[in-house]
Amino acid sequence: MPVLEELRQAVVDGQAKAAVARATQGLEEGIPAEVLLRDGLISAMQEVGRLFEEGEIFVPEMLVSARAMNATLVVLKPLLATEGSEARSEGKVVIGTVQGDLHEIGKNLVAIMLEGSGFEVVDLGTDVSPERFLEAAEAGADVVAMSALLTTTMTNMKAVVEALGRAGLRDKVRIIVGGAPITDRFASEIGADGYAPDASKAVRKVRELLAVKA
Amino acid sequence: MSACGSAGPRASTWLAGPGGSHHEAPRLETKPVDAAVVFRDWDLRPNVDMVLRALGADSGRAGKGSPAAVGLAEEAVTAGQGLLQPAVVAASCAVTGLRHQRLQLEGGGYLAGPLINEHLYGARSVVAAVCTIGPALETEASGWFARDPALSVALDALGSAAVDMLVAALCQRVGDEAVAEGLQTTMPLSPGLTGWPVATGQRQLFALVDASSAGVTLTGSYMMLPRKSASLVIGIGPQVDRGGEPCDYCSMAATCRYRQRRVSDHG
Repeated sequence: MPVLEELRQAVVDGQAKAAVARATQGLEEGIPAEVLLRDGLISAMQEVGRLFEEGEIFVPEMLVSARAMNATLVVLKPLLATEGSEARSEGKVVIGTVQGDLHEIGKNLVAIMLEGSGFEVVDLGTDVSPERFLEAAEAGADVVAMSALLTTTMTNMKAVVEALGRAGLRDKVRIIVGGAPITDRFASEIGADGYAPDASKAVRKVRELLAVKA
Repeated sequence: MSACGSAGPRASTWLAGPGGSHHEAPRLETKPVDAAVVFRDWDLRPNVDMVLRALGADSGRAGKGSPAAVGLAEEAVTAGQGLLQPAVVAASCAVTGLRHQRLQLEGGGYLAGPLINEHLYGARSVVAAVCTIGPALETEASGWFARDPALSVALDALGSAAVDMLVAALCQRVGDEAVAEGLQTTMPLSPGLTGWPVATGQRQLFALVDASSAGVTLTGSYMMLPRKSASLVIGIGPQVDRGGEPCDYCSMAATCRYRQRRVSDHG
């Protein structure tokens, strides 16, 4: 099916118009929307993540790929519902920047890449209290992802880990942390399950954690 | 508040202090800090390459990125350039002494920490400054996130590039005046660099500068609002430490993609 490969390549190249055109062509050829999503879009974003980790592409290229994917999803989503094959989520991730910290770009990049990789993302925004993280986790989450850019706010991550523990959710929810001052060692010290230094590795870490869980 | 004077861009007005050993440094007319002047005459025009670099692109091929990525950066420049509202508020303070890593300033203010001790030991005066590009761009960037996350992130990168340019322009002005007076300047030192923790550094610096006059405030966690702001101090003297660059004193120096791929625009 060359149209699938062309769709995939258009997303990797960040060519939104071409991606939409190839998806439309694929639908006209009778390819189910679910297949276009799985083997075209999600597969493309996995390739984008691989290229990023290998230093072949950088954040701008990752962004335009996600943009091409989103433009194509606008076409596919109504059909996914019609087909009765709503895109199966890879898992639900609650994400936010911790209390006291208003930085959002790192968190946003992770959210973009997670969504592009097929995860359902609940974005709580910035300056998120432990109570709000807990509330969102109780509503059903597989992973809680926290971001902090300041040494003065990174300590608030521990309060979220503790709140989830007190609520009896610690065995049900995986926790991942990231942000400029965060290290693997810090993640271990506060009892998080993982740390990722960039958006692509965050997706990989979430996949890894959920696989461990399963 | 200290009694440092407002600094200004006219000849010699960035410089304050008791004078150098071989050269009588000009004295700044001392004014109350609450009379600080906000300087808005900055012509900032970040280009596409700067936006791509702020996004983490390889500086060696920033302009040669994928056409779609270059297009995104161009969109950000077009949409965001008009939203830049650069402002700098600065105070020029004479140094009265340095003891136990504490640089004492005329009027009672001080700067303290290992980084201060290492770089400002030869300074006769310091310029403390808070720079911002204002809230308009970041508001616009946040507003785009739900509709077009990629443009939102690119607009944020434009803001980062603009703040970098503003800091570089300020350093250039202060440096030019210092050179004209036979003096030297240190690299800019910012709270959060290794040896000057964010909390203590911001407290010390914001006590010297009336940042609110430029619309900049500190949160309880010492983060500046608008987010696209920078705080810094520059040492001035007849023979100061001119080595290093801020990235050398950043805790992320080993892993920062921005640094690894950065081409200095600061000269």
